[in-house]
Amino acid sequence: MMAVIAGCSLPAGLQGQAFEQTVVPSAVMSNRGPNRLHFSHVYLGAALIPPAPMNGTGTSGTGLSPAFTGGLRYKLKLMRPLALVGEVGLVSQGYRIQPGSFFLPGDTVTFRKQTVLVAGIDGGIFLRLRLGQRGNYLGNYIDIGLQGMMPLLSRQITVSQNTGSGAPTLESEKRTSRRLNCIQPYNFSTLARIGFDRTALVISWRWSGLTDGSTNYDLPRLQVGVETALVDY
Amino acid sequence: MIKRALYLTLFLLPLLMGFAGDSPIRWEMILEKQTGFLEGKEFSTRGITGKGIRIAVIDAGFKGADSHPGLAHLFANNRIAGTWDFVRNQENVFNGNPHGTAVLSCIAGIWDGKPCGLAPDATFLLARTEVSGEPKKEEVNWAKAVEWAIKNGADIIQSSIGYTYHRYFQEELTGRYSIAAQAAIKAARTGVLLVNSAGNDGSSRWQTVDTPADADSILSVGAIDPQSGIAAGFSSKGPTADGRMKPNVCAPGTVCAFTPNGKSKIMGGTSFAAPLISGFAACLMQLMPHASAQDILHAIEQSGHLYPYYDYSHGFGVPQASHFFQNQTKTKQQGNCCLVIDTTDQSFQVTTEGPCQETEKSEWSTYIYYHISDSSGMLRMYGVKEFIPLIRNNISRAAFQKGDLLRVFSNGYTAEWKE
Repeated sequence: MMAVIAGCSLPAGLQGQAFEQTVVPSAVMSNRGPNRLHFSHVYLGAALIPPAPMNGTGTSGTGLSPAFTGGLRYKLKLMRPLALVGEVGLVSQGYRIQPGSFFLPGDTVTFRKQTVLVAGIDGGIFLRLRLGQRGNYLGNYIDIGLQGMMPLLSRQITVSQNTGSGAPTLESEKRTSRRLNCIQPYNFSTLARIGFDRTALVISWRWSGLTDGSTNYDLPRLQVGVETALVDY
Repeated sequence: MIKRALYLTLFLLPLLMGFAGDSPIRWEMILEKQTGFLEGKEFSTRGITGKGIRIAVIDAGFKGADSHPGLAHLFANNRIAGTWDFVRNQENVFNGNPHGTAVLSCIAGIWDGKPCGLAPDATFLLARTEVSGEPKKEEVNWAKAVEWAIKNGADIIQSSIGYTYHRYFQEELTGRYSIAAQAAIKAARTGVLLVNSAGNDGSSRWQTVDTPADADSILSVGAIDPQSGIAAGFSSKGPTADGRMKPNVCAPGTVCAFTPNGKSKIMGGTSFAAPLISGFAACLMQLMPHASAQDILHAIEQSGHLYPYYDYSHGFGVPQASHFFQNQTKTKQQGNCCLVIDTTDQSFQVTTEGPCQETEKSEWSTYIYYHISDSSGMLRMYGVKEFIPLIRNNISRAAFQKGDLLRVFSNGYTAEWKE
C-alpha cells in the first residue's frame, strides 16, 4: 500500500498545520503604541452628577443623577512626560428632578418622577502629564483640559400619579416631551482626569449653562466618574 | 429510555474518563509528561537527583511552601540553605504570593511518591522580590536577589519573572539594556547558570520574550503544550531586539504544581517550564561536576530534541536526558540523506528517501519543523506541520526570497534547500 502512495503529493488541506509564525523584527517597530508618538483607543465611562439645590433656595432641585460616555481618544506624545490628547464621543446625562421641584416654566403638577435627559456629541482637548515609569503602556497620568458638548437629543420624561375621582384606570401616566427648547446648542466644561493605566477618575465642571435661563433653575454642573480605556497590551 | 441512557453515557463518558477539568486521569497524564518529556527517568534511575547542587529560586513569594507535604523533605533534611524577602527585608518568605511555591514544586516537589521535577535532592535558596504593579523597585529587588544568590554560592538561579511593557519598549530588550538583563549577565559572568522563563506574552501584542529572558549567556525557557508537544500559544517568542535566538530551549508549560493549602493543581505558563529545566540543569551539574555553567548551558541546548534545528518558539527544543548517556537510541543526522526537498513555483515538497536510520518513536515523530532564514541567518518565518513519510509534504514558498535558506527537521533528520 505504501508503495502505491509513495511519491504522491499530499493536498495542502490534508496536511495539518500545527503552527506557523512570521517573524517581525524589532527594527520595524511602529511608532504607534500606548507610550509612543501616536496612540488611539476607545474609552467608556460612567459618572454621577451630585444633587444640587434650586437657585436661590436651599431645597434640592436635582437628585443624584447618572451620566454615561464613550468614544475615541487620540494621544500625540510631545515629549517624554507630556502629551496632547483629543477625544470625540457620545455622552448621555439623565438629570433626576426631585418631586416638588418645578424645572420647566409652566410646570404646576408635582410629578412622582421627572427626568431631563440630554444626549449628544462631546469632544475635548487635554494636556497629559505622564507620571512614574516609562514602559510602553498608558501608565499613571493627569489630564487637564477643555471639553465641549453639543446636545442632539433632549427629553423631559415625567411620571405622574393619577389620583382623584376623574382619574383614568391606569395607576400612573408616563409622558415624554422631546426637543426641549430650553437646552442650549452647546456647553463647555473643564475636566481633570487622573489615570492609573486603563482606569481613570474624572471630575468635570460645566462652566456654561446647559439651559438658556428660561427654566426655573439650571441643572447641576459638577460630574464625578470613572473611565476605562479599552487597550490591549 | 435505553437511548437516553446511551446519550447520557456518551456525554458523561469523556468527563468520567478524565478529559475535562483536573480529573485524576488528566492529572496523572500531566504529572507523567512534565518529567517524561525531558526523559527524567534517565537521570532518576541512575540516582541523579540534583544532589549537592544549590539552586536559588527568585520569585513573588513562597506562601505555604514550609507546610506543604510535597516539599517537607526539603525542610526535614535542612535543604533550604537560606531565605530572604527583598520586599520586606526579612527572612520569612513563606507568605505573600504562592507562585514561588508552585515553581519550587516543579524542581523538587514529590506528590504521591512521584516527582514533579528533576532535582528533589538539590539544596535551595529562596528569595522574594515581587510586589504588585511592576514598579522599578521590583527589578532592583531582582538584581539584588541575583547578587545575594551569587554570594550564597548558588550554582543555578531559577527565575520565573519577566518584565515587559510596564517597564520597557520592545526595541530595548537587547539583552543589555534592562536592569534585570544587566544583573543576569553579571550572574553568567560569575559562573552561575541563570534559567529564566521566556514569558507568557505569545498571544498578546507584546509577543516577544520578556527581560531578563532576553539576556545573553542565560537559558530562556519557552513552553510546549504537553498534549501536542509543540509550542504553547501563550509562550513568548524570539528573537530579541538585537536578533538573537530566544528562547534557548522549551519544556512542558502545563504542569501539576503545588498550591499553598497543601494540595496540587494543574497550572500553565512558562513559569513552570523554567523550573523543569532548572532541575534538568541541576542533574547535569551533578553528572558533569567539572563543567562550567556555560558548558552546561550549551550541553542543554545540544540535547534539545530539535538540535541543530531551531526556531524562535521552541529554541533547540525540549532537552533530552538520553543525550548524555552512551546507550542513546536517538540519532541526529544532518544533510539530505533521508529528508529530500523538491520545489515547484508554489511550494517546497519534502519527502523521505531511504535508507533512513530507524529512530525511536517520539512525541514529535509525526511532525515536520521548517524555517526560512534570510542571508543574515535571521528567521523570516517558521512552522510545524504534520508529516507523513513517503508522501510529498507541501510547505508554501510564499515567504521565500532570493538568497534565503529553507531548513526542515523531522524525526532526528535535518535537510536544507537554497536557491
